[in-house]
Amino acid sequence: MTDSNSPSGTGNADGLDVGAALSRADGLGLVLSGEIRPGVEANLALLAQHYQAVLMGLSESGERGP
Amino acid sequence: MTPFARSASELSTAIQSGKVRAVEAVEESLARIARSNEAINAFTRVFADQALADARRIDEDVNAGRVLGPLAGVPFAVKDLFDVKDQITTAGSKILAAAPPARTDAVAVARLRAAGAILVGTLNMDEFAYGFVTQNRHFGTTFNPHDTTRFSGGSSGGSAASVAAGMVPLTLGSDTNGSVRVPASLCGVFGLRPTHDAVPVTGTFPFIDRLDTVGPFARTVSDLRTAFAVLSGTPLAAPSRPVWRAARLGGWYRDGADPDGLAGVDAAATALGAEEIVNLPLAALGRSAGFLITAFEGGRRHLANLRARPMDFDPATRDRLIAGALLPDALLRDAERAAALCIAQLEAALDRHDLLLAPATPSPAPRLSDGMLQMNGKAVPARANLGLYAQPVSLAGVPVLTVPLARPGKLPFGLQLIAARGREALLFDAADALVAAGAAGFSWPPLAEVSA
Repeated sequence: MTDSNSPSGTGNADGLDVGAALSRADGLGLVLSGEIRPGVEANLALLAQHYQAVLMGLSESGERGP
Repeated sequence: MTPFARSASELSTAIQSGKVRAVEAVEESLARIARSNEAINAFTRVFADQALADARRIDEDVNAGRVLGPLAGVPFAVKDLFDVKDQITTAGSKILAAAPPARTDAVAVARLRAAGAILVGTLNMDEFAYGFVTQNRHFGTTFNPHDTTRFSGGSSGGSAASVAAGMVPLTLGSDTNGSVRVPASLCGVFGLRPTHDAVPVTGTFPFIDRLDTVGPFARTVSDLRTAFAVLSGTPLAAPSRPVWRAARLGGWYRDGADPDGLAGVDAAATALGAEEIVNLPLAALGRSAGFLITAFEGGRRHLANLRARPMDFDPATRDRLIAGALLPDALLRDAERAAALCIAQLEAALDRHDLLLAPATPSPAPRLSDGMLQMNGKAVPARANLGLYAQPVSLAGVPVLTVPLARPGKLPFGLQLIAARGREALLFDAADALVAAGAAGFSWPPLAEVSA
């Protein structure tokens, strides 16, 4: 994936890379303990689906290239 | 007639004419809370002594012949994200349990009090208003008064359930993505999401600034009219019967909805002359955009506490907020562009139609035991899907009134009446027309034990 997933990133037409998003936790000072991580991963996966839908919608509307 | 068989407006009229004492009304409210709250778990705090003292003052004013406000003597309660002077605003979270008490009332609370209403307590909610179920690790689940094995909806679940159970005739909730409309639908009460910025949110714990609204719940349209006038500081909109151009929303707003609920929506549409079906193909895009914007901004709002005390959050809230905090900025810009497209499409439809009709939820209240609802013959998680029809509308900041459809012997199911910004009066008129036609109206749940 080429998504920078950084605060100043420019996004990625392929969508949200869940692994890259999780890797931001340390930099933000968030501790993903064993109890927390599965729930966060599941929610990121859901957000990735919604982001994919947004990118597709923007592409179809001509707002953003594929 | 006991005080609580009356609407808020009727009750205030009776109090101001001396037929009922405000103390009687508050005592009735406190007795109903004492009887029903164990089963419903709507209230998180009850201010019995203060409410009775306020009621005595109202009775003294009545006896002295003073002119009182339109809600004089009416007991009310607020979602626990409204500041109440000298009380801690918890926003449904243990995180804020040691916060300093509020120095003043939230503007909405102050306006209701200035109109003579009497605050009797605070109400349960999803933690930090992030949810549609009012299942709260710290304060418990709020149960549906029509069937306590089912969801009350959220995040203003306590606000809807307490009105449905007859504990109070008027409450305040907040609606960011559907948190007034979803519980109003599941509990069978009227609930208003006002135009964004029509009612000040000052003194409420925020969620997503660009989407946050505060609005009232009641058992009658008349009470919502009165409450909205007080809350917005605008003149009371007298009932009228304008000619409107109305249509039903199709596509996204019908796909998967409970067939019996849709039949009620169609009956209401017929009553309002809304035969045309309008499709908004970008509604799904709006849902996704709203979902992402909420996660992104919610995560950043709570980042400091997510770092410092993650285990003090309700796990369901925490995991969503952390996921949102991990999203890149670029995603927000894409979501905002998508939201703008969805908003433009809805606004164009509201240029052509005065009223748009849609279900408020995909189904009546789902069972708590499995947490699922049925859509297109498939079981899907209620938590993630109860807001499907409410969320896309939220982006545009337009007013939406949820109306309980007439469903004798069945669980409640709500209809969204949607209009352009600033047209709350039209929504009240349309809701009145539905009640007059027998297509909508509040029904007491068996638990309420109301005697006329």
